[in-house]
Amino acid sequence: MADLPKYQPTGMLLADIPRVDFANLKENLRATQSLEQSLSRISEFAFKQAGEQAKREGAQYAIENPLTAEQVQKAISEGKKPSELISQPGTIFGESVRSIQAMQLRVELEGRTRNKLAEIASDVDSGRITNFDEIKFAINAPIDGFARVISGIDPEEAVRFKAAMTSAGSTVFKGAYDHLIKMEGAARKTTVSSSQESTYSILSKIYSTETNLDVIEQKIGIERARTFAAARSTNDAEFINKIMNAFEAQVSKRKIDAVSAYVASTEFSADPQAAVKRLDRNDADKMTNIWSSLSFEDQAKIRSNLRTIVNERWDVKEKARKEEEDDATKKSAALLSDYFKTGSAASLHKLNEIAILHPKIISPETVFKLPKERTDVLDVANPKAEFKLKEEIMSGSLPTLDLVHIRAKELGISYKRLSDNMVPFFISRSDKDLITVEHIFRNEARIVPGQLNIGQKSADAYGKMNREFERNWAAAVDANKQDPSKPMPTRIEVARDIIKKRQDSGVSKKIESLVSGLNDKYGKGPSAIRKTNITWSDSTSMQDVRAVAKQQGLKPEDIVAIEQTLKQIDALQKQLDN
Amino acid sequence: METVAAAWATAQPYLSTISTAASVLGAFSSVGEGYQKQQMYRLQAEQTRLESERRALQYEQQGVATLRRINSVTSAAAARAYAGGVAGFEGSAGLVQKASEALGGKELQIAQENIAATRRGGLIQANIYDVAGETAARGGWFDAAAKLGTAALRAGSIGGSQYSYKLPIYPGAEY
Repeated sequence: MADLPKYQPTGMLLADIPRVDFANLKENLRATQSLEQSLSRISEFAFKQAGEQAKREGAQYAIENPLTAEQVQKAISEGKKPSELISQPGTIFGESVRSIQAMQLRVELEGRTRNKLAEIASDVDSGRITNFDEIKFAINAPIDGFARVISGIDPEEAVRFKAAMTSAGSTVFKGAYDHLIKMEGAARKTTVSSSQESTYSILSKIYSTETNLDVIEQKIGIERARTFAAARSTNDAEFINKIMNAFEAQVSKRKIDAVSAYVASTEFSADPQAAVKRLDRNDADKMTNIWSSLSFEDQAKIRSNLRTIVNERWDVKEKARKEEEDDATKKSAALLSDYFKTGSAASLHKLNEIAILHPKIISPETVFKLPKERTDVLDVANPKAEFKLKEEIMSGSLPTLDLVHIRAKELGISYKRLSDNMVPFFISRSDKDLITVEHIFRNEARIVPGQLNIGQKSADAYGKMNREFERNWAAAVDANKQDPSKPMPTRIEVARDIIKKRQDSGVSKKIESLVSGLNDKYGKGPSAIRKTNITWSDSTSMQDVRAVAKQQGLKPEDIVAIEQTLKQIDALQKQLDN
Repeated sequence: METVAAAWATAQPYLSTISTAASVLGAFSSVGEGYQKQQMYRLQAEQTRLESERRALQYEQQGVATLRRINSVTSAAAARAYAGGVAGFEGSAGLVQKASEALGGKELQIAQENIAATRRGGLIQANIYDVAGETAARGGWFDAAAKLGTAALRAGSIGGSQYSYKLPIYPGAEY
């Protein structure tokens, strides 16, 4: 059977699900985004405006409430931080206030710092600050300190402050540095210049002490190097040249001077002519080496110096001699006149001196004969001379009869006048003085006139004073003999001097103190420990005390104390009078 | 250059006015842009509808063709059976015809579903475009409002004598 036709499938499939374009969502999204952007812009703009407003208000607040350096100093002194004084950061208003206040503080501190820098510059100019470290510290201290204060508030302002002030400080420091360098240079120049004279002295010493040319050159070389080193420290080429030229000139000069001084000295030759001759023979003694090393011109200079020195020496000597002779002539005339008028021993003595030194003006023989001539020429009865002699006897300057005799001769008083008037006057005068001296000593030794029983203490004191008097008197007489112009003390003056020394001695003061103590404790005074009727003295004896002890109410312990004191006084008196 | 500088100098006093006017024009432009987009979306919606209808018709043609092939096969099978001397719609001839109808019926059903799906999809897309157009038009208005607001704020922030407070004029008052 033939096949029946059947339906053949075409392979039809379900259509693809069409892709949906969600244009509404996209458009919605776009519109939303657009709106969001617009709102963001508005919001951003509004915030910006508000921020600027806050910034302006902050600035206004800061201007109305400025932060001063005093407020900052006070805060620091109270232990607060400067940043606590201003608005806190984090808001536009706060930042604005902080920024403006920091700027105000920076401006104020800049002013202060500039003033301080001006002061420092002035101090440097006037020489009140002379140390680099001190200047650096003075400049940096306010800059660093203020910068630290500002940085606590606004680091940016601190950076600005430091930048500006460091620049100003550098200018001041440079000025100060230049000034100090200049001053130091000047000081070094002065030091170098002033030390040159001592260097030149060393040059002179080298030439005058050294004879070996090599050694001289070596030592001069050392001085040259030292001088150059000192001059070089000034860094001034002109000054260095000047110093070194002066040094070389002095080397030459000191060499010539040293040789000149030596050859002109008597050590080299007593006779200047002989000195020139020796030099002509090329003989300069120990300076021969140096002499030989000199140029002809320098040798000529030394010869010239020698002649000048010799001439000057002769001139000075001659002038002095003439002046001395003139003076002696005038003096001898005045002394002769005085001697003939007054018979002055001093004038005669001086005439004698002139005669010895200048016999051409007045001879010693003439002077020797002068007293006789004067006696011969003048009237024998010479009241003025006799009065003078009596005056000298009274003043004690003629203590012995021998001296009276010599003086009478000097004054031209004859033997007859001397014998008749002067000797009796001298004897009576001396006796009176001796009596007075004895009275003084007896009184000091507490010897009662007419009393025969003299105490041991008094006797010792009296003897000691008399011995001292004899010794002192003899010494005064000897001194007058040595130098008649020296005033002679009287016997009474010698005695009083002994008494004064005795009373002023430490031992006497101690005795006086001990006696005073006894009177205070056991005397008549109202403040006495044990009041008695005893007047205590250095001559009070223990025996006397014991005799009246019971009657005066003295107790055994008092007696012991008194005895010890009296023993001390006794020992001191022995020390004083033995 | 001189001409540009002169023009700039002339425009200087009117800059704030120019700026404000530009912002207002920009707002108008945004509204226009919104409506233009809406128009564009309407066209797209229409296009989508037409496209989906065209595709639905294609699927209908496929369905019709399927029916013709079914009729052709069954009628040929019946004719051939009758020619062979057997009943055309009974027996194996009838069985073959039923099998052809079942196969062709499936394809016909696919074609009908495709027609429905294409029309539904086109409708959905066209509606989406319509909604998108409305959103674009509304967005244009919002955009314009935002532009005008921004312009107003900026104009207010410029300041100047023309914006400063003016004292009210009272009759007889001296200022």
